[in-house]
Amino acid sequence: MKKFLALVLTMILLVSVSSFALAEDVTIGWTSWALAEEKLLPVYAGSADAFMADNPGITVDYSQSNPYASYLDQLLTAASAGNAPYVAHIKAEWLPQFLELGVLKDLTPYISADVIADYSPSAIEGATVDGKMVAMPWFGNTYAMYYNKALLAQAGIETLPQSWDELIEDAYKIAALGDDIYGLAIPNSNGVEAGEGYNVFPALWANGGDFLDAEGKINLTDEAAIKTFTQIQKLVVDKVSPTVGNSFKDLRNLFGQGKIAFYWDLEGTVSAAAAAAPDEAKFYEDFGCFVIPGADTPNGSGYVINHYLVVFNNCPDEIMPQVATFLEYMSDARVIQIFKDGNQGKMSSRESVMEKVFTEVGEITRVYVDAMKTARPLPVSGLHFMDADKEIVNALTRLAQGEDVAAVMADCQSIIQEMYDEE
Amino acid sequence: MQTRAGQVINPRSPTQRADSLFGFVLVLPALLALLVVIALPILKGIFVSFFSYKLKNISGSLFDFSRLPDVLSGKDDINSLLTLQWNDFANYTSLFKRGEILKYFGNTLEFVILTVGIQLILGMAIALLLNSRIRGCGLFRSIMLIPWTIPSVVVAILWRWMIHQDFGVINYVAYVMGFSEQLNVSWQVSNSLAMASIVMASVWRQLPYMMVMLLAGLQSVDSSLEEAAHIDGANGWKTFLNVILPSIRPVLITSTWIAVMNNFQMYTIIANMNGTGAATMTLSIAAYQEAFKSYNFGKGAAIGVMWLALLFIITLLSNKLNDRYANDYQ
Repeated sequence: MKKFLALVLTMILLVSVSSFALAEDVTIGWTSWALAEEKLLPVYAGSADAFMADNPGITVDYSQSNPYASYLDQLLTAASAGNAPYVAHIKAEWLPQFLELGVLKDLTPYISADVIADYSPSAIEGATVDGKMVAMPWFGNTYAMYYNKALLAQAGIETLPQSWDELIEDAYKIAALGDDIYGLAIPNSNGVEAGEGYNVFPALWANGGDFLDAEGKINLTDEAAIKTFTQIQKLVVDKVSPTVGNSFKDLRNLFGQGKIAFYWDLEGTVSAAAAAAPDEAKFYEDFGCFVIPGADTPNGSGYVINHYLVVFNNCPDEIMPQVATFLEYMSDARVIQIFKDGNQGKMSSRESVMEKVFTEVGEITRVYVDAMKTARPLPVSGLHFMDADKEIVNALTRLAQGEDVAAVMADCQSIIQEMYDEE
Repeated sequence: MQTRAGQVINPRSPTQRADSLFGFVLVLPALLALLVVIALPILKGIFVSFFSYKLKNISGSLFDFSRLPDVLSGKDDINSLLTLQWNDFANYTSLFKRGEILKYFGNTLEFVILTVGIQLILGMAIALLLNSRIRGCGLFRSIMLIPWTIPSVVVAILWRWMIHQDFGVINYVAYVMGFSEQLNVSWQVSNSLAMASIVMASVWRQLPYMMVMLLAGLQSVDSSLEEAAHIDGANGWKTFLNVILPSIRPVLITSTWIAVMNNFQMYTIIANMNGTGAATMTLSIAAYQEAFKSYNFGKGAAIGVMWLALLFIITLLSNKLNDRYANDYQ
């Protein structure tokens, strides 16, 4: 009898311990560089807080973050050592690095078919490698052309440019207003902030060129590319554009001060430009934006930078269902709505999300929604895309010094092709 | 004990040997720490510079010791212990292919020579001025020290704004004073201006250090020597050249050498002012860029090895020079 009682008591103890363990919170570590930025923290942390409020029992620990400049290095190192937070926010151009390291978990078994079906096929394709879904498409940052209505009026421009050629024409008219007024600015910092050489792509696409040809080879020396880079060189030499080396942050300041007529940027950064203006109310009065023009209307030539959520291999399989819940939540309408309310301008590649969040929108957001329709993803699948980006900036610096366009672009193409051939 | 020359050397007593051993035991932890944090990383750097060592390799070990029994029994070649792939000096040859490494060396030497040279001349001039017992010398010295207290990254950001094409105060002053015909000069596009900008910022940051060191040296010069020189009819320049300079030679060499070493390693100011711009791509920036931006650790290590070799040669030359003139003053 005693033995039986002992057995029953042991069973009760085991059941109570295991049920206690089941009821225990699951903690998911999540990181993003945005969590280290004071202005972005409330929106990003707010999305995780909303998830926790809707999903009791799952805690999202977002205490680990690094600023943008060191984020990728730190994350790669932590992931290779198996110490990374389970879930991380990355940009699409970083995906090849993580794949090379072999640290990403296959999400295919965990994400529901309904959610996958809701995404555009290209979004899923970009996050799928060898049939495995290695990342969860989160949102896309697309760009629209800011313009200063007052400068356009002073230059006698009554209608917005309908094509890239008209944009260049208008830029020259505006630059003629004064030595310190620029018609069009193209961001391309020299690596202090980030490479940003890819900002030549809208010009390249509008002129009929592309970074890669049909066979996947680097294509920076064909007729369209030479035309594009000659155009950019002329803009800089003629002082219609500020010279190379200006990051988005620099251009926001110049635009805010009314020194630039046209440049493209994110929806969420209008306030940063306004902060640099001597009179903020006047800034908003003069501010407008439109889809980056392509070869002709309505074909825009903007780009979209896709952002992903990835899960590292150090995340235990047992908590993957909860992690999948978190990933699905972060990409659905509730979180994208939080971003929209925070004026972050993040667009989703999920159809239902766009319908729910972006049907009733203001004038500026409408431009970004329209821009998203024709925006092209950056060609980021190569492991050396960021090196290529740096080489493009180096080429732009040489062009600004007045070097021969064909020679500079031949060097640039050869260096980048060599890097891509190494892969 | 007797040597070949027939001299008798007293063997060390057991107490002396015990003392030596005790001393060695005391420094052993420090030696081990240095071995782990300095020698091993350098050796690893040299080793990986001969291999293809990229992102996919960083999580694994350099050697696969599980194969050791097979190697010892002769089943496997010793090379099978290596997890990295030998790449026929490709890390080195690729650096010479486009002459990249020569540009990095050139930029580095240009930066170091200009920065150290200018701060040496200015530092000496200010130190001589402060040593001449002018009024308010203490206050002036304190003010001069301010740039030294500012972190390098802050200095870089400060100077980046000062030379900014559109907002920079330096462009404005140069334009107003007639040194420049145009207001919006880009310091980043022109190779010479890009280099000049990082040299100016570095000199500004490091000048107080040089000035303080040289001032300390000047204050230790025996005044009777200067008086003797004056009595012998030497003018100020000759006294400086033949009395003061030899007197402060040890301080001068040490300060210069420290400045050379610091500037060879300079990363913060260059990276934060001009990023990866080709005109200011020094060895430190290139090594970091290759290793931590392109994730080609092997090539980054190859740059580091050549950098180490250059510093080794410069150190040897400096020591030779130092030995040659060591007894001049005595």
